[in-house]
Amino acid sequence: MNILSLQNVHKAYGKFSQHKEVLKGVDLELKQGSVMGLIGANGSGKTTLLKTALGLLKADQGQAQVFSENSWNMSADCKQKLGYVAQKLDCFQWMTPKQLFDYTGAFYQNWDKNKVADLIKKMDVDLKQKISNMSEGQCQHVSIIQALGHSPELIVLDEPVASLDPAARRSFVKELIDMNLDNQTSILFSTHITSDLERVAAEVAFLKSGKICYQGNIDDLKENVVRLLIKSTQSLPEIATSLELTNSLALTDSLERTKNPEVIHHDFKGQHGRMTVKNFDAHQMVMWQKEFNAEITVEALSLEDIFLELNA
Amino acid sequence: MQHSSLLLQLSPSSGEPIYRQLIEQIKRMIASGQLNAGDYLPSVRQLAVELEVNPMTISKAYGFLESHGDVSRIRGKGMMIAELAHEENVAARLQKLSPLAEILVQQCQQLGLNKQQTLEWLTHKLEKELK
Repeated sequence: MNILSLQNVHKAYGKFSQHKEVLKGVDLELKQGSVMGLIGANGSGKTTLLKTALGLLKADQGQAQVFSENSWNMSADCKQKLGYVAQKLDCFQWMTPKQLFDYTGAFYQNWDKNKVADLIKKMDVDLKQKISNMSEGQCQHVSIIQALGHSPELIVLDEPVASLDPAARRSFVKELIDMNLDNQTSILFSTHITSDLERVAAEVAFLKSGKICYQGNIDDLKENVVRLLIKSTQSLPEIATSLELTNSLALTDSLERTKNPEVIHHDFKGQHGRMTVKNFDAHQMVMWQKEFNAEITVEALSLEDIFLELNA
Repeated sequence: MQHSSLLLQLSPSSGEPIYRQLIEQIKRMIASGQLNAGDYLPSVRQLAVELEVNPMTISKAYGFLESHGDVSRIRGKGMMIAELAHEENVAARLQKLSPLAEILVQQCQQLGLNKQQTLEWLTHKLEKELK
């Protein structure tokens, strides 16, 4: 069952000359119990996507659903099952955490005071301090506790660990893993590629140019895409021309569509070259070794490398 | 006995999928006797939290080890290192090094190092670290 789904979602800001379409037909599916990282460059629309998915923004076109309900017209029951941590906690700055938790708790039937007390202790939140006087990291703690207090079935987090120190991040990650294991909680978070929170996610979705250009299992992606380092005895650009190699393929042309190895990107200078390939196999390696008259070394690509390839 | 913690080290920035890194490290620990038949691997939850890794990734690695006979799943107790696994002889353990050896050979060629030079250096290196 899909906990969250977006179908051909468009969203634009501004009018007339300032009109800018941020989401240009986003398709995304989050299954129950899965943990997904949403990755994209700065300004690619990650926050817009999450807000539209949750009905905090209205899609101009297409369909956004949470628990099979239209996000924009969500029932009260549905909202009880959601937890959202925004990038910044920007309202209720004049409250203390205690006041904020009491206030938030009043809206939820299954607000768990023990759990909240436990989280407050773990994250070392000062209940008497005014939120406006708190550091960004402390605010983020408050925001996380506010979103987890009612044990939601779906947690959506916008750059959740940006301002957490390593110890705080660890206890937060532990909390997420516990919830995921105990209650099959589904988790969707946006992140910068450099954050090591990536390893908590089993799935990844890349947002680029207003669309999801890849959604799938991280392990599959890593196993499928490799970079080859080529050292030839001949001039590589000439061979490339004779083989009619082009850089036309996008990594994102469905990885499963074809099982033949395909060159995504190549960069040849003299007798040395680099080539990024998907659906790579040993058979192709032998062929290329002959064709290029070269020694070929296979290099695995990290998620970060793949991200850079995508945005090249 | 239940292992309270394994000295596993993951490198998320590596291109090698995390579940593969886990499989390889656990296999090496079995081969070297750091893990013995009858020992239990940490629970999925414990390891997931410790390594900050998705529980499914751990399950995937455990499942792989199970299907290859390295561990067996004991109901209610977890994953136990299998009898057979630790009896591997020296040849089998050396065999596990062969991917690394290939990389070494290749890089020696690229660096223009000959057999004599490489062996001397390697012997020196090993003398310091190994018994």
